[in-house]
Amino acid sequence: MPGVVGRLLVEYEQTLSTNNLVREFGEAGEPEGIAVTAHRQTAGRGRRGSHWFTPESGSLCVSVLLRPRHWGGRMTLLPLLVALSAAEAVEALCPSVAVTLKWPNDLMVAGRKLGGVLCESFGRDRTLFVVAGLGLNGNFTAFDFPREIRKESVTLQDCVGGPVELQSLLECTLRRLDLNYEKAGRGHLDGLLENLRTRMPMLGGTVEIETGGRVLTGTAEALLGNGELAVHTPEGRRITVVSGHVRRYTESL
Amino acid sequence: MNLSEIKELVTLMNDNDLLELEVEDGDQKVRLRKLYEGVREKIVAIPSAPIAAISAGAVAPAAAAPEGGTVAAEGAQKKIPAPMVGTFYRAPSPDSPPYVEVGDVVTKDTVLCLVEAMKVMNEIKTECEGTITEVLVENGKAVEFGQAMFVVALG
Repeated sequence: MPGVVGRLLVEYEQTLSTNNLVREFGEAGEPEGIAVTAHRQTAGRGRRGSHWFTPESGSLCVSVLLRPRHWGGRMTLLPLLVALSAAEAVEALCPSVAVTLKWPNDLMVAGRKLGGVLCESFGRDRTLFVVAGLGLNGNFTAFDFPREIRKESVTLQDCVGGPVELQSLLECTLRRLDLNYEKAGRGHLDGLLENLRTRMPMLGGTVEIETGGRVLTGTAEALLGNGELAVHTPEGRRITVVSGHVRRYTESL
Repeated sequence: MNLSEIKELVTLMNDNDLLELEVEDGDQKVRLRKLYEGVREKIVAIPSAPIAAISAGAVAPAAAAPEGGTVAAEGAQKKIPAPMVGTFYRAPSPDSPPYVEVGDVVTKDTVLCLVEAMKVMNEIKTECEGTITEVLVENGKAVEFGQAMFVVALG
């Protein structure tokens, strides 16, 4: 039943990391759906501890407690569902902005990164919980970024030419995630996968992926049922990638 | 503002049918909101004792994993299998020390490594007690489902 994600939203003025706070909720056995956001996050993290740059304020950072106990292999869809929900929310509020997804966890606008998702899972079976964290570049400009990431980054303010109502965007994202999470939990994946595929311009194009210490090049053939990427190599092999960083891709759409 | 303080505020919200509550405590400001009207937020901590019992019992599914997932009998060792396909990481971040080294004494709640699949970082615990005798996978390399990652001398 919907009404889970965002049942309680805790807003901090400032915190070290919203993911760490939600982890505490998870370890204390709290029910799923609690979301924690902060106007300023001073120790936000990207994937594997890489520092997620957030300026003084103006970013949207939220972490959600989820308990996908009966999901099994579908759990790998979570980062994509969070990214999809945020993309849908951005477009609902800023209709002029077209958001695409870069497999498996980035939100992009015109080839530049708007935000990303980091999920962490803890425990197993009945104690299993996931902390799903989302970071979006909001009301500042890419000129505020350090030089080395400026060219690859974009903010909502850059996209629409003025500040965006981040509060509404956050609520809308949580409501979208509530619906998408509920659908996926019931195994109703067809519509979700179709929505994901249409937002992934890399499908059908050429990709270069760092995976398990090597680099794989080929055609991104398909997004599979649990969110894996099927890559067709020039040698004619079809490889299912579940873990990797896409270094480069060409769009086919 | 810690968890128990938040819980107190949630109780206050429930008792008074509030959808929103803002609290300022010194220089700290926290706002609590419910997105869905009529949803009574239940903050009920699951008692910790059953959880411990369950996670101890959770060693069994690991034994069901293929290739190396079985509890080896020789010298009372246990191989810790990867619970999923993914990338193996020995430390929480590239500039942190590894969670464990060979020779470390581990308990069932010791975190051994992360296995990343689809940007979900999965924290893997020992689920047995003993000493790490071998690390079988190199940091950053791919692991298959059930592939042995560590050897633990039990006891």
